[in-house]
Amino acid sequence: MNGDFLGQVGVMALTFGLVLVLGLFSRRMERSDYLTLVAIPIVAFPIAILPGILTWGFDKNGATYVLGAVIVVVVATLNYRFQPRAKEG
Amino acid sequence: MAVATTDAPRPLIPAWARTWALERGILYAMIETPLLALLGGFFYRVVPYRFMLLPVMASFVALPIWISYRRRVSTNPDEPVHHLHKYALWALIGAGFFTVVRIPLVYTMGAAYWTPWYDFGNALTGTALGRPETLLAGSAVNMLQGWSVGLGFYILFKRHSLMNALLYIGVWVTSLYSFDMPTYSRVGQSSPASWHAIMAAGHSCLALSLWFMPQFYKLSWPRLTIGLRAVSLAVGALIVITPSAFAQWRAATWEAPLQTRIDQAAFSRPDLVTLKDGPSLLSTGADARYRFTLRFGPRDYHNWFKQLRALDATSVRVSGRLWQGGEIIAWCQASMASLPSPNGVAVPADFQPAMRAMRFTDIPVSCTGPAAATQGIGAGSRVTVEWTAEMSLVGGRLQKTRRFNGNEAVLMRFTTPAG
Repeated sequence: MNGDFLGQVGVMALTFGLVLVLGLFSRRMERSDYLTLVAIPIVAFPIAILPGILTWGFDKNGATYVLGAVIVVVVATLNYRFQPRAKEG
Repeated sequence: MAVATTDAPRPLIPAWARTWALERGILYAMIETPLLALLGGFFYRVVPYRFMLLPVMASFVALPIWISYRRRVSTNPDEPVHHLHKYALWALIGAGFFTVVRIPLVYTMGAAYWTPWYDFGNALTGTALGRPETLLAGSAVNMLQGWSVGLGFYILFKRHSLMNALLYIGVWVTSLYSFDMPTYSRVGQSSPASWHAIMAAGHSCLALSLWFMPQFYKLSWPRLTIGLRAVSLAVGALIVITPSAFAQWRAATWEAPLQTRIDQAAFSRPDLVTLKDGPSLLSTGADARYRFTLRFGPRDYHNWFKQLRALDATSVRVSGRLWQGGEIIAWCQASMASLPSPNGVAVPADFQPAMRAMRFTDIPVSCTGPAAATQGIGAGSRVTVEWTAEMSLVGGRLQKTRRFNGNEAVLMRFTTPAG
């Protein structure tokens, strides 16, 4: 793991964090939306990412995908579990 | 005590999954075919991109039939099929906005957003990179992909909240492209952390616009006068058209002159062709055969968007003579239709080794002369190599025929015993 690797992962963690600040005020997501957000990065990994990792190795770009996928799953879960519901009507 | 049981078989697909597939899944799959074509044909190269357009066309033919069917049988007013016309329009504006926000980077960082469009256009039409028609085709492909991503969001999600948009597009789509573009597409280009961050910012703006459009339609649109509605539509149209129009304008006024200067500088490099190895006597018999080697290079240069490329050469013709003691001892020639080039390498990881191997390229030249002339040649003999090489140099935009000459006295080498 070199400085390039950690630098990119660090910058992207910061970027994703800043981006998601904007969404903090969104209300609790629907169950189907939550399941969609959890499923998509996980389902896409073996189809779209794993073949590349197996061919060229796990590099900073593979780590960026994993970082993004983990953030999507964790933030969606936190939103679904803890965010207040939208007011009815 | 008797207990009542039911023997009804469990359905193979749960009801919720079946409903989801009918209401959203199938429609999403149809709408995402342009993106699948990009991933399968352009990035993963499962089949050529043009073949991947077949499912796109098939799905766009089947789409009206499916929409008509679902509208007839659907009892859920939230089903996307009832709102598809609005979603399609909103996604189009989002796709344009994704690119419009990156226009300032052209001026501040020299980061041209349209560089992949040439590859898209080339994959679609087969026209040459750098051509306006290739750029136009690529911009249409790019818009279709952006539209497909935006429309996919509206179809896939029940609530079009900012958090859903940011997670799906700002984070997940960015992560996917962060892996795919450097791994499969950005040949000869570095992808530093800043490049990934800029892409995340662009996708986040797409997410913001996709969240904003329904808000605008629900809250502001009903209160607008006809005049303001016309202005809103004009602004929307401008957002959609600007990326392509701006790219064409900058390609003509900035990219083309810059690449022309780069090509001219590469063509004018001193000592582009030099004598690498002096002549060797290969064999004697009825005729004596010799060989010497010219070296072409260095070939590497960075093009207008800082992509590492190799200077190519076609129609290579070499002629020459070997002199010794004021007499011609052999006549030489060589020809090559084109020099091997790393520019055709499609996988980024394979490009650097190929570029290193071909930074200098050897051109072997064969000579033939009378066997009797070898009698006076021994170890330590010096011969003069006189050569002329003519070739068509191929840069990123220009092609130019150049002639190189050399005349050097060098030691003769032997692969057969001297004398």
